[in-house]
Amino acid sequence: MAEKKKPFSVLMNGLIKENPTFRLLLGMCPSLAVTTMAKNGLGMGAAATFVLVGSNLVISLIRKIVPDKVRIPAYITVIATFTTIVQLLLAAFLPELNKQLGIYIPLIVVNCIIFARAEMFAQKNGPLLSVLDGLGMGAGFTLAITIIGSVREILGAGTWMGIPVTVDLFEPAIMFILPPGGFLAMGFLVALFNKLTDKKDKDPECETGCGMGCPGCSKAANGGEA
Amino acid sequence: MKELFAILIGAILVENFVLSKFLGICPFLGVSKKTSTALGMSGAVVFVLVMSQAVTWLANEYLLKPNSLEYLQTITFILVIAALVQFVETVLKKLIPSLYKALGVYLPLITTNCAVLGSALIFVERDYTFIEAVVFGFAAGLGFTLALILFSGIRERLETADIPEAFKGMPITLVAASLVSITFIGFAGLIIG
Amino acid sequence: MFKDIIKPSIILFLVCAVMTGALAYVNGVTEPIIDENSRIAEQESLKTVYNDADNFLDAKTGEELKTEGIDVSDNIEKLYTAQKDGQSIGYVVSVFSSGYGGKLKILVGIDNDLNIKGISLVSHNETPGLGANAANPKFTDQFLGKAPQKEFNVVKRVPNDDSEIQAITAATVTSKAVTKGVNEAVALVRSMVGGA
Repeated sequence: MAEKKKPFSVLMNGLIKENPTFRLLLGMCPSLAVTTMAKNGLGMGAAATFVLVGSNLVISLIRKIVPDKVRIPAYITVIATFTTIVQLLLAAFLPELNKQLGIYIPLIVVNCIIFARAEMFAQKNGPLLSVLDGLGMGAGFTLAITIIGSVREILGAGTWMGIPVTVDLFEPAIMFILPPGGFLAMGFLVALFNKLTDKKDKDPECETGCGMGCPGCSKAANGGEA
Repeated sequence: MKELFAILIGAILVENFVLSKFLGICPFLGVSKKTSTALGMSGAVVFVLVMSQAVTWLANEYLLKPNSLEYLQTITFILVIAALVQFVETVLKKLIPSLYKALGVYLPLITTNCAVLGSALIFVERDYTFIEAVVFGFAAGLGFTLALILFSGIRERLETADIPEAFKGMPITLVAASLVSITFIGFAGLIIG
Repeated sequence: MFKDIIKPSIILFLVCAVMTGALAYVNGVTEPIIDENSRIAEQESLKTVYNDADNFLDAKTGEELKTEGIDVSDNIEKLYTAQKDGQSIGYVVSVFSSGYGGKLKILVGIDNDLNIKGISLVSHNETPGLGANAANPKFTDQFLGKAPQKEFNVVKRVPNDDSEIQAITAATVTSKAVTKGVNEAVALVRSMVGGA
């Protein structure tokens, strides 16, 4: 395994090379559900990043004192706590966004990205690097779902961040704001990402229930848990 | 009774968990390659869903609500779900080891299945009774099963199709999902009156 | 023994305790703000359907009204009394109705003379671009200012009289659902003011 990770590369990793949405294909549920508008994508990304950074930090701090036996429930508790904190903060200070994102805010706790990073990174690295990884992954996720949201909003409603952009160029296709459009947009964007980053056929072994992602594998590779 | 029936049909067809509400996507996209695996996974999910709805409803009603601890819902629910999945794993390992082996890694992953936690959050949002919550969970599971089976069939066919390099794997799966999703929109008018 | 069971359990307990403690703190800080937000949002939404009013009294639920002997449809959620300068001038009713994509929630502002002051589609699951347009004033304005003797009726052409409401093209179900909700709200207020 890599010894001394360079902080900068850790930060940048989540943006492109291991973009959680387009490459690792984690966190599909919110990526499809809340991306009806670019603004929602941005909001969700920010909230998820908050939870990601917070949980990565705490988990990294306690990684040496938590016995392996209770590792999973402990991590779940930490992640759930940060998720609830973000829920409360949003309800108090950004109620509009809270209403838009609905149940997908508490669902951040089961966002595969967070657990995957906890297992893959925070558990094995110091606090500073873990925070950077959280920021990088969070930023990558935010970027990705904001793009998806933008595509769906522009094609489906003719606006971007609420500002009309297409005007009379073409008639927006409502389909994009509806579920099928979500799948379609995501499919095309992942394909585009693959093309741009010149992906080779990935290892089929890594296709597990988390949508893809060797991080999903590692959880099981540790022989079930708790 | 009519209410329950509406909930049942609603969750399976009209607001299908996977294809309309986007809950349970992760395993949906990953597992659905083979129909046999899909069936096993779905069975486990339905089982966990029904039990989790029951237990989380009770916890919410008798523990959280009376003490004004609603803000602990997220944390309580997910811990209950994790414990249930753990329990199911242990039981299966002892009683039906073959099934346990077949499900393999997908079993612990049910914990992070948005559909399970999502169902619990929804019964809170809609203030369902105990029976309504459990029926809803069961229906959600059936909807999940339906989507998964439909999908594994499509994916099995896609295996032999000629697909552009960039689309191989996840992208073409998503496009296929989009088509299945369109057909489900047709159910939207089912619950009226 | 200690290492295997007791120690992990204690550590897990400590982690849970610390996390829950932090959570309780954040909750304590945010709870009043959240409650206030809800109250303000509620007052604002009530005002949109009853502009003339300056205050709304706490709601009575459909259940409570039933126990008071008032004939209430099961779809009625709440009844707010609308006030101006301390005097009761009318009501706002929140009522449910079954639309195309599920339950709709409608707010109807009605004065003591049974004139419709305002209508708002608070929540719905209708199809964007079709049924969802029931939320637009273009549709809801049809109800305003009317004090119908009989129930509102949905028609697919230009209305002939005040009790007819023109449906939204290709969204008849939603149009009917909204109309039904309004009718039930009017019926409730009629009972409240003791009219025939």
